[in-house]
Amino acid sequence: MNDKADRLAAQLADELGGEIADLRRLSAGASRETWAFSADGDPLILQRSRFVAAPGTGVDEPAILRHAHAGGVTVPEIVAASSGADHPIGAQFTISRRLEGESIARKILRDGDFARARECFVGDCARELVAIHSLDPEPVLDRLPAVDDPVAAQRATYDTLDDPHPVFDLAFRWLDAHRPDPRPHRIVHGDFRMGNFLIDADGITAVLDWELAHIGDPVEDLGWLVARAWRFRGEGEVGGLGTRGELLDAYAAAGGVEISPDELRWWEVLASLRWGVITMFMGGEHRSGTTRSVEQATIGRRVVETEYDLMLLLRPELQAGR
Amino acid sequence: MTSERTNWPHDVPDARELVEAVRDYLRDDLGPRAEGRDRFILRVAANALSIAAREIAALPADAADHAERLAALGVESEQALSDAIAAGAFDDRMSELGDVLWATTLAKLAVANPAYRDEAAEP
Repeated sequence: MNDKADRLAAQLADELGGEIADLRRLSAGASRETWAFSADGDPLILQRSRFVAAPGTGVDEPAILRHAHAGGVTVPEIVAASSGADHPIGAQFTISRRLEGESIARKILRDGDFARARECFVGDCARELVAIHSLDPEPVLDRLPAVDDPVAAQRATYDTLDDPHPVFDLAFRWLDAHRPDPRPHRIVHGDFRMGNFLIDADGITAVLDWELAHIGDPVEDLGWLVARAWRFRGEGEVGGLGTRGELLDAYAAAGGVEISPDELRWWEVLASLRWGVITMFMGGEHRSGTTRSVEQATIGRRVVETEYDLMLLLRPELQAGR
Repeated sequence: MTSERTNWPHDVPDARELVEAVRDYLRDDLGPRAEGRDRFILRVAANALSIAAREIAALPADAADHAERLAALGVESEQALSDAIAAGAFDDRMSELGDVLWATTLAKLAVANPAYRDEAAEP
């Protein structure tokens, strides 16, 4: 083990008590790390960030996860957490129970072990989404941001990037002109998609990655889930499995509101556009030198994938010449 | 396979061929010997070089086609087209605009990620 891991093991022992073993890093980003370890034999996960978001802009993930867990959403149980304090483990960190399951889409979509999980994937997603959207927002209103106009939010980022993409301008104009009737605002996961679930042979065992959670229109989560970016070359429309219609039916059957295919399409257009703006942003981070990496640079060239998706989604309007 | 030379007065291998040589080394030689994250990054890097090689090959024709399409719409640049769409200047020329955006999108995708194209879903 290196010095950094030794230091972290000592800090974890101070925080949790007990014997820390099997400490290993699972992933590392520019500001965020994930570690696996066990404390007195209990398998645990540590996620820590070097920075705390400015008040009113970030998500208090431990608070949201505890609220979601209490409300019946399938999320890992939090063992310890800290946010905003000058803590040796990190400015913001969460230690949660390590659940069994796979998150890599390629394996979930193709390995024989997950055949049964694939069958019930759409139903699992619908059940989790209804559970999330049924949470009472009141107790956590000051723990996550509110997005009142999701089109304007993306437009603001797009304008800041100062990199013209006419297909995006067309999509923004269409979204502005065809807004669905607003739904009562709920807690929205914000990144509910294949790749952010733990899945075992029987289905979803955890909904992960809540750092984009916000208060907003719940249909946003369904539009994001069906965007092509999260199908990983699977045949189906919902994370590579199942159809949009099956998702809408399963969502209503699980107790969610009735959503029309047109309303879902509006949110899918916004989802594609949002992923397009994110890929533009990531490519820009490389160009500006903020985060230089071959991975980040290559993501910049994925922008056209979302332009292509948008052209297909807006095909009826373009062909009608309206 | 030797392609027709277009890079006079420079010598060969030309820029595309050099990029492809590095790509092949990363993908076929170094990649299989690497592990974990390095292996993943080498695959990403080889893909980046494939994009660069395709762009070098396609750029002269793509740039000319693009300029022609912008001129047909009566705008001078990509930025001017963006601004005009945002201002509603194409609201009554949607089908003409759609044809141009479609052609440009397909040209970009053919360089960035040709495998992404789903012809069964296209008009």
